[in-house]
Amino acid sequence: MSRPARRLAGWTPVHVSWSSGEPVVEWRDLRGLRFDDPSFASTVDRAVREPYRLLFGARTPIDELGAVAAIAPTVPPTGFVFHASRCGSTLIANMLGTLDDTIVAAEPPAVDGVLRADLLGRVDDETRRRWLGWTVSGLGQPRVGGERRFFVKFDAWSTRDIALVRSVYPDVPSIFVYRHPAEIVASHMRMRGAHMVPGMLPAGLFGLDPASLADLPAEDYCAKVLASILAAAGGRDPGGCLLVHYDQLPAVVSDGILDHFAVDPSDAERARMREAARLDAKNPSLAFDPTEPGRVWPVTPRIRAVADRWAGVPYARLEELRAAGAPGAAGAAGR
Amino acid sequence: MQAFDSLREIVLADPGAQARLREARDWDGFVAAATRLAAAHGIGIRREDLDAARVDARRARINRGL
Repeated sequence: MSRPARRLAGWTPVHVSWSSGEPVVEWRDLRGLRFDDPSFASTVDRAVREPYRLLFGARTPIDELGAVAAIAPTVPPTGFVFHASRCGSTLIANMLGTLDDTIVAAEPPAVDGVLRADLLGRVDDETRRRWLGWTVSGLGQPRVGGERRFFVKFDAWSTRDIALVRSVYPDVPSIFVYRHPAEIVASHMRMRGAHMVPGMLPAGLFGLDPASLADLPAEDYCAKVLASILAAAGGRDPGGCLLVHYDQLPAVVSDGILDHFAVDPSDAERARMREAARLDAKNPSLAFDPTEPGRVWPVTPRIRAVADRWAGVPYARLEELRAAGAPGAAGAAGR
Repeated sequence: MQAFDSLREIVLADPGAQARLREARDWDGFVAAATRLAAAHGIGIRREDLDAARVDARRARINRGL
């Protein structure tokens, strides 16, 4: 056992970046904190308001992640949430986060860092699998005591790696959340997520040729990126996902998702989940108001046409699979 | 930063020290706990050293996009 590993057991890998061609893990001591913010990044932001957690981070080579995984207690993953963005996945994560003794790591940057290592560092899939296992193990370490469930919500673009994740965790149930592509594109036209801004993430992540993007209108770029995400979710081996449409929320959480994750909540937990569903997912201090100005994004005829043109086919494929009763259908290749 | 670097080594090696510093939620309480801990290990650390470490930590987070 290495000396740093002994020191860092119980600490959380919060970020994986690249320095001189090598991956570097950034760690923080998040013991005593529940992961119950709408995103993992929000939890870290909250943590580093405390002086100790801000000043005493650590940076190590990625092998230390493996050394910690070998010695530190961890909660095995209960379920994975993949999504197309702007489709209710944060609401689902927030509802899961109200369960007792539960860790929810929502879009942890360290997972994104190791999954994108093939593009950032030309790392092969076997290495990515190993690093993913170490990272998930590090995130699943108990921090408040008594944790027994652990969910990971991936970044939208990580859906391209759904089969790789599945190969590491063949027995962990997963869901894919989506909605009509025109509604997703319209939402991004109001305020774009990182993956919808050309250049923020490598075009190769979405199978796009950078040279073809120079004059591409924003709506088309968003629709093409979305198409690649939807296609990955509905691909030949979609990973045994339960397909969840935005229109099924929030009832599908208690009516389908919890069963899929083999979670049988108590009455008190169900009540907390209902309360979470009443709140604005991204700002849980506010009640969700579907009529709030700016909440409903205009789906213009152009957005609808572009979304149908680029993302219509993979969306229709998902809807077919869902109608056929995924995961029975989508899961035929998986669980 | 030399004094803070020395303190940092001590803290990273000592879960008990980590727990004590974790309890200090505001800056004044943290400075008091950190200077006590440093003194117990023969390290003279001043409030200015900790102020500078805080600035560096914030800057590092921004520079690394965290």
